[in-house]
Amino acid sequence: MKDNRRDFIKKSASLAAGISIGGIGTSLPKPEDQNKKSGKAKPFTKDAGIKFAFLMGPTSPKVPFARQLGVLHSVSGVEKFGDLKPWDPKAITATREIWKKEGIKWTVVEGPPSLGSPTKLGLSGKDEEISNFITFMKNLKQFGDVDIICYNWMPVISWARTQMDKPGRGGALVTAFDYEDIKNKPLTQYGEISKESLWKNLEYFLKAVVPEAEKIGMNLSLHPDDPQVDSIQGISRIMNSVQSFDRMLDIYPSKYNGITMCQGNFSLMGADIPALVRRWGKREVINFVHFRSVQDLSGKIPSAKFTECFHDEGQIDMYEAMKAYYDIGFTGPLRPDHVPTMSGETNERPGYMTLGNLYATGYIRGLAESVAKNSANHPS
Amino acid sequence: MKDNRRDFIKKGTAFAALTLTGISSCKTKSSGTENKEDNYLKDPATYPPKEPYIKIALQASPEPSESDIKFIQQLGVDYVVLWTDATKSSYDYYYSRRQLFEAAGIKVFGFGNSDVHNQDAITLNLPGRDAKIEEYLTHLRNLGKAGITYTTYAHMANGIWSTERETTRGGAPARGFNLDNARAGNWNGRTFEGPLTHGRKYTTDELWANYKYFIKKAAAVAEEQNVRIGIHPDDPPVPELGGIPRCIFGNFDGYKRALEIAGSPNVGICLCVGCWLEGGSLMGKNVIETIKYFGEKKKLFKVHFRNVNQPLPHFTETFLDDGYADMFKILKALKEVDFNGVIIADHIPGMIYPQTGTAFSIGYMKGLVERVVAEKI
Repeated sequence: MKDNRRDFIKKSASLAAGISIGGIGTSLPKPEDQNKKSGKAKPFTKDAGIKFAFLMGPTSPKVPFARQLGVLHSVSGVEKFGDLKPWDPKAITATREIWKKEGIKWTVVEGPPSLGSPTKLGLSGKDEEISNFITFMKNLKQFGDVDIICYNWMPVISWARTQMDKPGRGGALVTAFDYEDIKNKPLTQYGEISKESLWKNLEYFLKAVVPEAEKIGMNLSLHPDDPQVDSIQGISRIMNSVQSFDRMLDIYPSKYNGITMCQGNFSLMGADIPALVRRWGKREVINFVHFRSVQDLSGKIPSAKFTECFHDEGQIDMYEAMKAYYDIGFTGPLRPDHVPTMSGETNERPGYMTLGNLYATGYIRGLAESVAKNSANHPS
Repeated sequence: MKDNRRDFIKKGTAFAALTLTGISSCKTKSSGTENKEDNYLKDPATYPPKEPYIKIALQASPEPSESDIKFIQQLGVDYVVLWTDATKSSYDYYYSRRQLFEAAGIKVFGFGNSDVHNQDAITLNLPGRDAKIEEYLTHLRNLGKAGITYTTYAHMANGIWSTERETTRGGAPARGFNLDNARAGNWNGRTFEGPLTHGRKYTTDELWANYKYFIKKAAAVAEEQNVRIGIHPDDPPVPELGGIPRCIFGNFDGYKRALEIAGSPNVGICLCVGCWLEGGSLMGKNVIETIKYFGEKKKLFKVHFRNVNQPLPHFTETFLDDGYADMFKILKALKEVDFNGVIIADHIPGMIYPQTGTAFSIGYMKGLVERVVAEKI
């Protein structure tokens, strides 16, 4: 085969000469094609310029997949190092180094430390918590190079489902919620918690924390209640409507007092996701996206009965949602969420197994590419 | 964070214990949904898209486990293409496979037989040629009788040539080919060693004559049996490998002439985008031009969706979204010619285990197809 290369070049030259009808080339977009189009078209960027991320720890089996798929951002907490507090600069620095070695950028902390029942319920100890939270923000930014914190305002009971293994498409296991199943559950040790008190505590927190976040450039991103029902076991939920979020934004208007756009929950509130993305995009308050779809099963909005599903089969128009992020110029992190557990997988972490995340990532990347290329090709 | 996650799961599990049954499936669209904001749900008039549209198929085992079947259903894929060999090639087997998949709501788009595919006896007119052709015709008749209307054929005399495995994004192992190191081709357990895989150099005239001899017989039976034959490009489409010219299915003009010789509505193309990209300018026309030309003539039966990092003489296969071709434009071109066959993911780089690469690739294809189909071009 030694002569192969020479033969090859000879033949390719003669072939090229023989077939000169024009149009030889590849389907690779040529830079000049794109330059010709002026107007509002943006040059094509991979993933529509959005930072694709996974929720994963550094030892998660998702890490090698993430590298192969080019999902190069992690949503992860501070690693545990003996007695070190999670806001200790040493713990934060070490966590950052661990991610660096993995070739993945640590980008978001979701579910931050030192923001628990005392602060959300207004109990004693809240000021110490808030003080530690502020320390955490500063150190996370300075030593961790992380500038997004996704938090929620669901005290005691966090996200909840009433079924963890509902058969979905092809028997994939999905999580589901039906308020009927838990409406008679007893009160928790905290008794009845009113909406007024939750609002008061949220306002107290925001007024203490957002000015500090502004100083250091930390993007606080409030996640909607999941599920976004009125209350669970006597504990009210307040971040369960679009109006509530508008109210929250007005408590302390700032780019750093922002939102995690969890599409599923906002959709179950009745929001038109693409329209909402555009509206809040103008206000520059969307810092982080949970790209997911859901299916309401109740026929009533807001929904108190719904199921998770594959990204391509739910009620949200995912392409229009992606187009909205692209049009508002969103370049922050985006992750898939609540994916079905697929054939051959155990259901040990419902909503967070591997195959569903890979399928979702492919789908989201296909949408992002379509959006970015349609825009590049057809300036509007 | 870690504690939080554990709490989530604990709480979720506690709730799960209270679960009642009978929640309807995700596909059920709630009717009479009251909503104050317009257009909050997908428009049922346009979603899901109605046929004919670009369909996605999986290359599946003809003897799938229950888990394999579920995986296909979960991906939301409605078509499979299957392969077997001479040991199982029969009407009974083909028909039984159709029944098996159809019982699971999956259609068998096509069926191949690796013992009548890439046969040097046919391509080079070696002893046993007529018996081999007869075996091929029997394959077509079995398909026809079983109601399977498509089969992929390839015409390489000395197999698919690859060199050492290489790596692509994230270190995923992927097929590579470097002409400098090319030593041998492989097909169906046989190895064809260079520099001359069949003892001498063959001429293009010989190859054309042998092809004509074969395709005339095959086309007649295919028409009679209502089976369509999609011919796959030579891989890689180097003008000559191991002394055998790749002149027929190695470039655009070869295809054009070959389909004219066949002169049959039942003989068309299994367009492997990957091979076309491997060839680059050697192909004479790029992928988009090829799709437009043959698509308009209704000669595209099936498309292998794959990507490579660069054309010959040295290429590495890549993830679909990571090669040098614009897969979105390729899909748009397919839509423009009203392609209504299947596209399959093929030669997916090795991820940690096989289903993972498939899940990503099918998701990506769905994301592209969903919009390309809905887009008004």
